[in-house]
Amino acid sequence: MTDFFRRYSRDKVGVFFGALLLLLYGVALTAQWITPADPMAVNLREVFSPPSATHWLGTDQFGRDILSRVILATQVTVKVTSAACLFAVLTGVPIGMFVGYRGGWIESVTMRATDMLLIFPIIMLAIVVVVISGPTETGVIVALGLAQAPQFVRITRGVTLSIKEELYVEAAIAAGSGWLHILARHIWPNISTPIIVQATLTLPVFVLNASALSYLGLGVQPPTPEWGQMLNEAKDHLINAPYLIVGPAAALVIFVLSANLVGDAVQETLNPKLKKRK
Amino acid sequence: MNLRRILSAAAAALSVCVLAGGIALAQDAKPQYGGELVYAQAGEQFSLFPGRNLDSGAQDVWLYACENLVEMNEDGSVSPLLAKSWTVSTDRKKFIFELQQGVKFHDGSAFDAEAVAFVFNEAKAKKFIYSNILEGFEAAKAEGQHSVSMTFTSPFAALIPNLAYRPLCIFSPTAYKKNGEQWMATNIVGTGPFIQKEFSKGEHIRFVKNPDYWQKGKPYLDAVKIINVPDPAVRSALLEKGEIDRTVRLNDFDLARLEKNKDVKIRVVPSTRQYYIALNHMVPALAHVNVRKAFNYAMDKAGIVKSVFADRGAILAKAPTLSEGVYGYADMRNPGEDTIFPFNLARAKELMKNAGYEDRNKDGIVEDVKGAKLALNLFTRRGGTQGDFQVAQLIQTFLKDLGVEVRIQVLESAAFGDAIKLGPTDAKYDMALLSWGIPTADPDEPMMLFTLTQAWKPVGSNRMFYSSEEVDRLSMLAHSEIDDAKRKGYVKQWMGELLRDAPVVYLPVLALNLGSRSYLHGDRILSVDNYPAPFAWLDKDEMKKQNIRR
Amino acid sequence: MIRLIVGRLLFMVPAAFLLVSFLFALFHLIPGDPAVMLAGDNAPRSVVEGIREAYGFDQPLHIQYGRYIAKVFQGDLGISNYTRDPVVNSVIPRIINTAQLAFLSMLFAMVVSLLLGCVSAMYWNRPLDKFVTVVSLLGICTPVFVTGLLGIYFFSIYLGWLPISGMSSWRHFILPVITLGSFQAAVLTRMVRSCMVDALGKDYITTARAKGAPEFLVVFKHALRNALLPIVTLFGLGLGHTLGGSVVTETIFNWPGLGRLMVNSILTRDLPITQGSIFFFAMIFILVNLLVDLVYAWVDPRIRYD
Repeated sequence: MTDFFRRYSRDKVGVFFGALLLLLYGVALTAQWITPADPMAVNLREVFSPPSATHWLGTDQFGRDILSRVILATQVTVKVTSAACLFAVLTGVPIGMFVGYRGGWIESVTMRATDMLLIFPIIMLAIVVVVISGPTETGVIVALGLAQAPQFVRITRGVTLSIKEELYVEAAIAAGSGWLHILARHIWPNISTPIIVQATLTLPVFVLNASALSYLGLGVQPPTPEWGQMLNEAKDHLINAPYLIVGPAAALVIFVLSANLVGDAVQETLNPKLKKRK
Repeated sequence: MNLRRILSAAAAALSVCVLAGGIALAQDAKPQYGGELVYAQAGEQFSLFPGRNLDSGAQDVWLYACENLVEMNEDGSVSPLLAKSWTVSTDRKKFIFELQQGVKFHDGSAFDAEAVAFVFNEAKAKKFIYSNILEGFEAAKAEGQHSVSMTFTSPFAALIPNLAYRPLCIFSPTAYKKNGEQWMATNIVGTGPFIQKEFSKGEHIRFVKNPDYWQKGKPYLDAVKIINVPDPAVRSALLEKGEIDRTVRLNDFDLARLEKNKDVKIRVVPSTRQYYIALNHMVPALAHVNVRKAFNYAMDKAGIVKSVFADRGAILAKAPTLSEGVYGYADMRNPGEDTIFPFNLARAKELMKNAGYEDRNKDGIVEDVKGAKLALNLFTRRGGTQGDFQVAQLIQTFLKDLGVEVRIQVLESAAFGDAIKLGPTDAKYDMALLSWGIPTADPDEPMMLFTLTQAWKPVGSNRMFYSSEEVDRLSMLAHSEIDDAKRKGYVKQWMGELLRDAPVVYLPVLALNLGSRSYLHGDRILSVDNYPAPFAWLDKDEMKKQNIRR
Repeated sequence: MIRLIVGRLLFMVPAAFLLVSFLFALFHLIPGDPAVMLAGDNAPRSVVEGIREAYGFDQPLHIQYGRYIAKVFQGDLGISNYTRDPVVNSVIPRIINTAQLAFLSMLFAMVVSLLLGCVSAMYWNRPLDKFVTVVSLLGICTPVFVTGLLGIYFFSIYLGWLPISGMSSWRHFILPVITLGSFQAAVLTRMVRSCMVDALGKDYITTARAKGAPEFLVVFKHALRNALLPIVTLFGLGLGHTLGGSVVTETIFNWPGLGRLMVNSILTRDLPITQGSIFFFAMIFILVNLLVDLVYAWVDPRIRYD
């Protein structure tokens, strides 16, 4: 572990954006306390005021402070995307491990099904799921998680298959250990690294898809602020209040950028062979 | 406002054929013939078959080709159209219409009593989507070649204005029988001034002049082309560039800029659609009339109109549920007030206190006598009616100021529809943001479906589970009263009762807009969300001056 | 090869059947009643029931399902609840619109990414390469709707050069195609670059250079030809993603495409249209994947699908 951090710290870009990502998570955790104004406070005497000293990013249709809303939205995004990522891992990985280890018809059926799901773009699957579960926070988490789960099934199965052939696994089977025991004690410790890398790498995808759902009006619902949804609302006022798009757009891009670069850096640190190619 | 309204059958029988067509044209200029009108609509997909569609966008298309027995004017009055005149039997259950003669459908078949009778009987037999508008309808019968009767099980006061509702237009029975309902979904065959030529769903529809139109000398235009442009920003850009002659549903925030353009004419009229919050009277707090009144007073309606509708897209309500242009409407405000239940937070708090709700532990939320805090949910949907979930966010703020905690539950349209169709024991909402539109401009529908005790969900649309003997009595009286003055009296008393009981929270009335080029004359905007222009005409010299060549 | 094609096409039949049945079950499980939506908020129960009866929604589920499946096997996907028009009539024009958008965007992405990727690889680790890398990274991190909104604001509102939405002239295509294409271009540029960097490191390139071939020729002829194989696969995958991303782009620019039709029909519970559009989407995705595999096999004859 310390070795990981020592090697990671050599990657300057990784360190910088890692710090930025940590900062964003810090903002998300403390959002309620650090907003300059109440993000929900409606003030009908101050609607559509352009950026100023009191409202750095201006105010929206209801006179709410955009900066405060962007900050609070960080919390929503972090919450939804982390939970969705966890959901995808928790559903995809056990299935992948199980079918990879067991093999047989269960495996072929499951893989056929994931192949079919993988044909569809994630955002489309998410749309279908979110319509079923309703546009709530839980709904979005389940939708994004389920839509991404097939990827985890496939990756986990792949690595499980290769680990299964290892001598120590065969030895454990020969010793009569139960499958649950083998999966937990022998296989999981050896596949956790590629799965963690995959999870870090897909985090930005979760963020992009969560905001796209919101933009389509299927994400977290108002008055809870969300970047995609703020941009959707801003679209109606592009002529009279174009500054509305600045805050949420910038926040979204910075977040995705940091998550992407941190993912790359983690991958390279754990897998130094990749470094050469870059 | 409604003085000229021809409603009572007795009056109608006397007024033999008043101004055929009843079209108000600009008086100063002489209509010019020729040209094609290009009209951009907001709607995207609908059926053109009147029996299966209540969408106002579709009505605005087929009105060029299909005509009703009677027609509604801008001021809410009704004039004869395909029916020249009508009489009513002494028991007030049978209406006899004298029809225009020498009228032909576009497919060449004759418009006669048989055709009219067929349409209404078919509507009943096949359960056309509008059939509840003809409540108690028994049968229609051809009494002669140009005389048709309609019989009802009970006296029906609102029949004549209801007949002006666009979906009740008389389509050609010959075409319908020959091609079937599905064909009619993309083809409209009526008696109107224009004949459908091209149709490409979701893109455009084109009508050409009907050379055999029964009103001599009309229409003036050679053709009408209706295109679909869903984005309001694009519609306003097209209008400004003169690529289209008229369009509707412009963004309220765009209107001020458009009005500075002297080649463009913007008209805004209040609609018959009023926003309201249905309060579930099964919830103990909301069963209390003072709480309901407090909620009404706590709403900063002017703030809603300003921030959500740019001071243009909505107006303050002057009466409960009914708005200007609806039969029996009367200004119900107290002298000096801008709306019913004018915004008054102090008064609202006072009323809450009277009802036993006070902030006892100083946490900003009111509690009842037992100390339980008042927290309610508010169901709303996104994009059902313009601005709905935005209004919901403001309501949450206003009620917070009153000390009521509101949890907004935004549902997608279909799920919302399911959530608000349940009966008193199953309904999960404390409050639901809705709007009530009156496409027939007659109060019969709200009186019979909205406030009546028998209309409690799931039967009618009384989602408040509101019940008042007096309101029920007045509604039943108004439903069958044919005397104008008496019926209006009942309607006014009904509104008075509503103000006393405050069964819902009354919010502003939606406004409609129409933008047209200044060279276009004779196009109209009706408060029932119709924008007819079949007898419009184009001023060629003015078009040339504005550099419009098409 | 033929086995692959036939196998995949046969796979489409059960896939389509499952899909259609799944959607049918789904729509009857989730809240939302098309008859209620058609009748409007203020309609009494009698009207809602009238619609159900007239449209056959009042039939028991298994009968509705049986009827539907029977019709599907005869090639009839039913009629829309709202427009009362055959589903095919609504879906086919939308497919064409979406295909136009997706193919043009993909073309844009391919041209841009090949150029930028090769140039970047040529100037590996030099300022130009760094610049391209940063730009493509930004492209990957900018959601389609942000690019679209910025484009609309700058080119349509501020400069007034391009129309905001619709698809009536070639000028209407510019913003949507660039918006949808630029995200894909950014993803592909990174991949083309790394493929090219790999290829440029190979021995035969050193040989070609040693023989004095101009650098331009080295990159675009020798290296590119050898990097083509992974690139073709990437383009195939990209096409799938572009089709998926078209839902958001179509919403921003009011593009009358299949993606928006699908989302709208789910929201309005227009089951026949939803089934029709998802059905066609699935078939398109399966066909695109098949095509990619075929191209892959054609480019690299060593590949055999058995």
